[in-house]
Amino acid sequence: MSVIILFRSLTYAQRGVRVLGGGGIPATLIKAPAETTTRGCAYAAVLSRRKLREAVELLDSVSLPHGLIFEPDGSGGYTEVRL
Amino acid sequence: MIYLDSAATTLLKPPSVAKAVEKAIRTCASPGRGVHPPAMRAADCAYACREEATRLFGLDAPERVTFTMNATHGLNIAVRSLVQPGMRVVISGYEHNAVVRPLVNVGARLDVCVGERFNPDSFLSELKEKIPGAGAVVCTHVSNVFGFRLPVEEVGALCRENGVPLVIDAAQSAGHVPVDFSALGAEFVAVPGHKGLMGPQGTGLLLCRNSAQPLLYGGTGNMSDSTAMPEDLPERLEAGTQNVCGIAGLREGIRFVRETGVSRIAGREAELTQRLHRGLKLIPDLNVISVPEKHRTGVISVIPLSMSGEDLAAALGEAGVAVRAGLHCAPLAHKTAGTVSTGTVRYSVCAFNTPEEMEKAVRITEKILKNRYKT
Repeated sequence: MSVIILFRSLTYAQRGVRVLGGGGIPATLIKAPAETTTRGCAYAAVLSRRKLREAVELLDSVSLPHGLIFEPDGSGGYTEVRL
Repeated sequence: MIYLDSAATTLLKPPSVAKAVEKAIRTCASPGRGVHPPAMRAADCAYACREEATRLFGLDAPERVTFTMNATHGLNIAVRSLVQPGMRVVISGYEHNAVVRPLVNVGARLDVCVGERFNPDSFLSELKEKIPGAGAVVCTHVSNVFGFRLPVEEVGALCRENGVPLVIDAAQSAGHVPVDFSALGAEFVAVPGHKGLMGPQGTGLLLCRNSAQPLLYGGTGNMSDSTAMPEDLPERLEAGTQNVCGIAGLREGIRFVRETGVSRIAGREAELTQRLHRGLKLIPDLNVISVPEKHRTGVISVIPLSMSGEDLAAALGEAGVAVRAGLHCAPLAHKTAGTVSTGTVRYSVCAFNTPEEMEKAVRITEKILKNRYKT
């Protein structure tokens, strides 16, 4: 099971993926699915659901702002994840 | 050709710069415009360049590195972000038109700090008087005409004490002498890509402490549903497709500078400049505008007494020595130094020059002036 963490810009997303990778949490940069964003094109990191809490703590530790978090709902859509 | 016009553009660059440009033009599309491999390669390339700059200039996050066309572009953004019409802005007496013109255009009241010529202590004393109540300070790190290095660290400290935002023009210092963004405490540092960083022309960086006002508005590849520019750096200042090929080359230039070490580059350039200065000083009919050695970088200005500067520069060019004559887009600096009526002939080195080239440039200069004197 995977989750996606939205970022406010491509650069933030790039930094996020690198920070996570550097912390031992593999993550991939993607263009955020349209239904997860409200303001048009956005970028996100995809990672394992199991690593989510650790990932958020890691991003917070380097003061890297991130947006909402989503997981696939099993029917092709996404559901927001709240920690 | 002995290339001694590196203060304008470094022509002698690491081979990796041209290779990276060539590779990018074949393989990279545009960052933030899709997630297909060419777009992602472009995004990776841009991010890697930001990371290199973050390390070189001591920033805490790569998003504070924004891409510009050149230092002038960055200075325009900085001025537009900080300066309101009628605001008193303190500038050094060595500023380039890249600083003066945007400030005049925005309607700033210029308060020029001069001090005694090429005397940092005198400059700082005068600055201390002028800073209280100023809206901003804009200061070049190194004079593009005389190579005089201004005490920007102390200027930064004075600005912090007085709560006045500081903009540094690092056009002649980045890659030549250490530039530490954190230590300077500046709001903005404007950096060209094509000079000391040895990148391609048409590249530059604006290092930002906080956000800034965009100079251009347009697509950024994110938050597309909004009619406003994104709030976050760097995209806020990067409307439209970026110069990815240039950025690829710039990344290699910065990497070269970082791996070589700025202090090592500074030492090499100081050695070359000293040799050149010593030789030029011995030539009759040549007025060498000497900056005290400890405040000097790789730029020397001279005034020929028996011919015009333009004629000397042209003759040097014909003889295979590339230098520049005139006011060097910095009339204020010439007024400060008392050379505005003649302008100067500027010799500027880079670390790829050789001691032999310095000796030869001196000999050719001497020969041209001697021949001219005889006729």
